[in-house]
Amino acid sequence: MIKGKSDKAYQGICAAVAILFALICLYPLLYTVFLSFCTEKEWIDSSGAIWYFPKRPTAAAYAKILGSTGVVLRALLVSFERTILGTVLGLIVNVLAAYALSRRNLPGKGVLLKVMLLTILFNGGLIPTYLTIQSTGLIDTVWALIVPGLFSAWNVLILKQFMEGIPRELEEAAEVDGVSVFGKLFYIILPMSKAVLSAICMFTIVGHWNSWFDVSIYIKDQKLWTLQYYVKVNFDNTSGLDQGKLDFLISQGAAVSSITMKMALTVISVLPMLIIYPFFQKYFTQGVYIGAVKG
Amino acid sequence: MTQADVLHGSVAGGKRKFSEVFDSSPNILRGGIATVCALAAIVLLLAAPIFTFGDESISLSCNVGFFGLMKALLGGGSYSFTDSEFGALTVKVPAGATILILTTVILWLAFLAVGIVSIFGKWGSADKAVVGAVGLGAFCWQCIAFVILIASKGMRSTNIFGVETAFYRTFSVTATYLVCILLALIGGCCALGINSRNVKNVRRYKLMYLFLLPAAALVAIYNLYPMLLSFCLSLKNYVIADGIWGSAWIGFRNFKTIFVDPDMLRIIGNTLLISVLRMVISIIPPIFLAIMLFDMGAHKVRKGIQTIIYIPHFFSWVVVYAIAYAFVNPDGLINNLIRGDVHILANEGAFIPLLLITDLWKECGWGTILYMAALTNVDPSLHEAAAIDGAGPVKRLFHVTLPSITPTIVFTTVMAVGNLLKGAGYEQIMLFGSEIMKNAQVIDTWVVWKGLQSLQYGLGAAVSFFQSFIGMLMVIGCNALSKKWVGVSLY
Repeated sequence: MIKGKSDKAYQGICAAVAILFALICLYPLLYTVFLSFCTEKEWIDSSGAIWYFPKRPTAAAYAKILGSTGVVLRALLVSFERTILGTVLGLIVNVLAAYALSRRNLPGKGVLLKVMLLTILFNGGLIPTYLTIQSTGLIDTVWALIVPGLFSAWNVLILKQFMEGIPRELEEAAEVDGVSVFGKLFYIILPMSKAVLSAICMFTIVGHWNSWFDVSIYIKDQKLWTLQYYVKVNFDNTSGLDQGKLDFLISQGAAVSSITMKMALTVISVLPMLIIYPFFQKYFTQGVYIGAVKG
Repeated sequence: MTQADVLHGSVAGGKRKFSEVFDSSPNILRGGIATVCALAAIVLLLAAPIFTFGDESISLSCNVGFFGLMKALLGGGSYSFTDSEFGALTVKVPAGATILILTTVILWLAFLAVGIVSIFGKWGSADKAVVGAVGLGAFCWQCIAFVILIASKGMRSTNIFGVETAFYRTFSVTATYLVCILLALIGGCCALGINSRNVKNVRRYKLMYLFLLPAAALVAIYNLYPMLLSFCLSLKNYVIADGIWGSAWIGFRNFKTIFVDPDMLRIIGNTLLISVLRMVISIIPPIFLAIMLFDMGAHKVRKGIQTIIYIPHFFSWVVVYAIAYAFVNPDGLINNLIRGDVHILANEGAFIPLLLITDLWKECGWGTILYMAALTNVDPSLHEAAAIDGAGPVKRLFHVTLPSITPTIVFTTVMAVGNLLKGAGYEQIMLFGSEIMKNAQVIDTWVVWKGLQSLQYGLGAAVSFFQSFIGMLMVIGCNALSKKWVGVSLY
């Protein structure tokens, strides 16, 4: 392609805007990390105007958070528990349903698909859902965070669509060889839908890890707080929940300020997402379609 | 469908000969399902309470079952409780209500009889029509009776103080009745849906129904049941002591409140305002960012930038709030750099801009993915041809690039319009706003703060129902538009 002067200028502007936006995305993250390593002395000396990596960094906040209290570790465990259980069980339920629905001429398929569509388009709303979860006895158990979200109509629809695209000849050939239904599922269908499964898996993991709202509604017991909700509680300025907060650690003589503690906690809560991020990157485009409606 | 499976499993294990008979005659499955549904409904109607007599003012509730109703009908309408909280209590049950229930039971007995006859194939080809008609007839009759029982002002009964009021103010229909309505629907629909072609398939795919069982159970319990509750609660005045099914029906009073109450109108207005602003933010900036990313060349740099700008999407709103807090709280970076004391988080005027800025930060990069995918599909020769014709980069942007990604833009816009009522982003608002902040009150946050926490369950459910219902219509409509205009649809 021939490039004129105006083309180069245009490319330059585009690059500048894109890089600027990337910096805007990146800097707040870095700033959070900077703050989490800042000593109280440096914070006070510069009267809080620290926008760079602290000159004498300290990991005291991390040590304090992870070391001297079980609260954060417990919250971390609950977060892992709900993420792992929710993702694994959810995949099982949805894959089985999608496989069944991907059979042609399954009697009742049309009705079942319509009901599933209804669950996407219409939901009962918070209060009826709360009452249902209450009457099934899940309040104040970790299952309240897992079970109601196990079935995802959207994931089933996507999986079903994909499975329908797998050539029938493959399955027929396996049937001739005497492979059972489970064999077909494990050795043909699942390996072939690896990409779409990974995308679904990624979004389920991210969704579980990041959710805090359901904890605030269904969980009263502090022992079952997830990490995200614990972070949220620490940023609440309402009093009354003080015993669970980090602030009391500061009064125990950590040489860091309250904001440093909070930022260290925030960094701990996003670290797992940052770690798995590179592994999932190639499934993003597929993921967009999955996330598009669920929002 | 699960009944079909259970039934099938119980009969097919026996003789091999039977499975052949089963395959060739759909009437066995059809009649079987009808019989099971009818038996279940009759047992429920005879054994479980049908009405609850209650009085809101003194929180009294007593159950009335079928045999009680019959006794009342024969005894001239009066029914005595011996074990109520107030000792022995005699109430009047209107004959109309009893007759409605009696007719329902008779219809169910008819359905049972029809089902049994159909199992033995006495009607040949006509049984599909007969079983289907009786089943759906029972369904329609029960729906009509239900509406009369919960909304008719013509049927009168006396309450505990001897004052005559509408029937539904003193008597509530229990969940038993709703289950029976559902059973009639299932029985009737299965009867119509079963033909000789898919009876064989039901047997062939029995394992598939087992696969569907967990999903179906979850959907029924956590999706369909809340929908039913949402509908019922929105027509009730929920009182905790009476429970969901014991609370009194009040017709459309909750819905009226939504349209009359100035508070409610402001909340709906807020929801629309915030949603529209967020929609604009979520559509237009990503388009231009995607185009610039695409046109910047330098593929390696572009990959790096893409990696960075997708990251914020994977953070929860709690984390985004934490980061924003570090910048804008009174001790935060902005105040410290300008040596000022600006309370941005507590400032109501700054609330909506803050929402939009954080939303832009979190989602703008992620929003480019769809457009990037569309842009890579644009034929480069279009650009070359335009360049040879002397079009500059800006001209090409407006005459080549934008028109070629229009379908994607239309699709995202239309779907965003469809999600308008849901799109206010309650998680974000709950974090950045507070209950006292007027701007922070959108439908979803109202449901949490006022509906759930102040126990206004009836009104809360009505608001959710209204929101969800309008939202559903909007998504369906917008999806149809998108299909028509650009050929892309969600499902």
